[in-house]
Amino acid sequence: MPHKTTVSLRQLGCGVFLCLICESLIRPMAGGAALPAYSRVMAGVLCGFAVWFLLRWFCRAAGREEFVALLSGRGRGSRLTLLLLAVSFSLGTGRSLEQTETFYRYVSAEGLALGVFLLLALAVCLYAAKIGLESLLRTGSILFALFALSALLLAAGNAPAMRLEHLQIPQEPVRDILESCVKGFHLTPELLFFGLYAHTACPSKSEGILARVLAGAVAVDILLACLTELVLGPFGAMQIQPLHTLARIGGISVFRRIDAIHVAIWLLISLFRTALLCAGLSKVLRPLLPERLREMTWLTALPVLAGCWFAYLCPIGQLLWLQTIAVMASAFTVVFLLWLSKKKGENRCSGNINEQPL
Amino acid sequence: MLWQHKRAAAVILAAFLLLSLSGCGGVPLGRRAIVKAIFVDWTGSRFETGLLVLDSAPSADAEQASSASLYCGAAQELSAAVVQAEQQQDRTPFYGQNQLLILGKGAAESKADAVLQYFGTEQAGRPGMAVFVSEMTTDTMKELTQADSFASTILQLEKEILEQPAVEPVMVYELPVGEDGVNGCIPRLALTDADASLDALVLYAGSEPQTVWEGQEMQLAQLMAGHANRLNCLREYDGRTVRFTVDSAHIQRQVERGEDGPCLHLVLTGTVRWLSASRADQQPGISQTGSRQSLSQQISQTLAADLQAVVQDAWNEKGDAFRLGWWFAVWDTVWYNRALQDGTLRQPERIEVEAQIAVL
Repeated sequence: MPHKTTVSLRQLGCGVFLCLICESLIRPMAGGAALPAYSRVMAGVLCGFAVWFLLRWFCRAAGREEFVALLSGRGRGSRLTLLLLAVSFSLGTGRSLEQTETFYRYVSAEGLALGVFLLLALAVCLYAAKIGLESLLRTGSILFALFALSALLLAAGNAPAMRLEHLQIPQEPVRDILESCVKGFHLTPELLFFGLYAHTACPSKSEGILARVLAGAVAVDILLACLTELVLGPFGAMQIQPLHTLARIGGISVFRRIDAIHVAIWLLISLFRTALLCAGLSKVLRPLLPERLREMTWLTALPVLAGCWFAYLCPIGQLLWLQTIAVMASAFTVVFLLWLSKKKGENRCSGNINEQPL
Repeated sequence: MLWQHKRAAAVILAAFLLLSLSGCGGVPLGRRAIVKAIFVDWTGSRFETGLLVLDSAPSADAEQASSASLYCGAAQELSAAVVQAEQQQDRTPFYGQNQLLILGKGAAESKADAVLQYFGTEQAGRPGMAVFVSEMTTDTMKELTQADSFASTILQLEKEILEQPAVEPVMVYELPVGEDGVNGCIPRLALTDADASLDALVLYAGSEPQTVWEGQEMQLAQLMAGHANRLNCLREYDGRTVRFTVDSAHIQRQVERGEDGPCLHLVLTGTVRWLSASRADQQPGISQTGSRQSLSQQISQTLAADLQAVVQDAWNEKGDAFRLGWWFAVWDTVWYNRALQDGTLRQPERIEVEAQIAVL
């Protein structure tokens, strides 16, 4: 029987888009901002294309009935698949929490103690896991409108300060672009949502939505990189959070110091991302648990805390590569297992044909 | 019944968690010292900083301040001097309204790069602070702050220079400190207890002041830097004193290939809509129609010559404050890199200036 999902692909696309742009908004760019905008533009396009090419097979394969069985804990290799997915989401959630806490501590004069912050954020995430992804994704459209407002204010407030002479001139373009590609390429677990919640009736639609979401996220990253360089120039390369610096500089008419609005929206988006990843983690963790423990949503907190522990201990570069490997391994395992089962089905059919009496 | 107990426990827990939010324990506005300006000077052996705090009566309007206080600190490191100044009073300093950074005489002469590098970091101050140099010392600042009208003067300075500027101020983020120090223009502030005005523009190349532009040259330099689009001029043409305003002043930049390599053409354009001329033997302020075309040519020639002098001050081996090299780099990056290495880039003959001023 085909698996029916109540998640609209449009809502899913909006939610994943918000998760991807969160990387551009609050991720410390101490390494990335030192690279010129032109290299980040080219690298963004190349990386976006690479991500789409790698994950489209996952989306296509995950639209099949056998994948639903894998997610339910049935079928060969399902526990391995679920475990890899759980590791991916655990690392992603932990990293998202760490990023949110670091950004919050950076922007606020009086921050929260780490323990209190984690307690509050976990409470939100576990509630999100309880209500489920479908309910959470419905808030995505509101957040998208808020993000659009923030982007508009950022661009309009800083437009008078843009200078063409701030754009860096390519010295070694090929080397710069390759360096940007290597530093900027990574896979995040929210990209797996398209496979996890794909409509089995038309899996090709999820491929198209994935392409549009990636294109949108790359476009936003390019626009923000260009805006940063046009306004700040070489000053931006010395900033840890250049986008936050832009928010502090920009103003419209008599409205100055509107960075608080931007920060509130960006933190809300980051919390949404964390909650979404936690909901995904809860979904893939449930079939791995014994029957009597499956209703205990609070158990999701354990892998989240493990992910946080990794996020605070590992350098950011290593953590991103660990996460990328986990996501790649999950996607590859799914594709491989489904290919195996397809082969098995074909062999069984051809075996039946061979056994027919002449 | 069990789910009702669970719900009640969840609500109580959520309320308990909300109590830990930082806003409940924040510092109230009355306990904050609102810093309006930061003053930094260098005595030769240490930094002296002053935090200018304006105090208002509870019934005061938004643009009123009753008194100004200067809290000072001194140390070899700038960060230590700022911390010491903060500790001179018992309120928590609040930098959210700090829009002015004033360099004293010593700091302007030799420590501009250190000051700008410190305040360019994200936690040290707002990147949108307007930067000024001045001839003042810490003692001068202390005397000024004791005057009754100084608080109003500072508020007026904020209003005229930042909120309703005739000329855009220079902000901290427009003065990045690179390997070769500061390259840019910083306005000079003339501050008294009753008045504040910008009387010159100081060109910095390699962290030291190179040139001081005043009057017409200052306006042309601000136009080159993109901070102004109007020129107020007073000139002598054919024995007449001509006062005029160039509106919509703009400088076009274009690189063209010349005989000795590429050459950057700067074309100053604008429109004179208001003009008054006088002779020594006539009453001043009488409009003269004269020959508009002849006057237009004379105005264009003199402005072009003045602009050429300003550009040549900033275009040399020490620096490129107006980023004119960018245009060469866009035109031919390979040639630009080679010329930069050879030292043949910043030659005076690489820049040609022309003016096309229309007199209406």
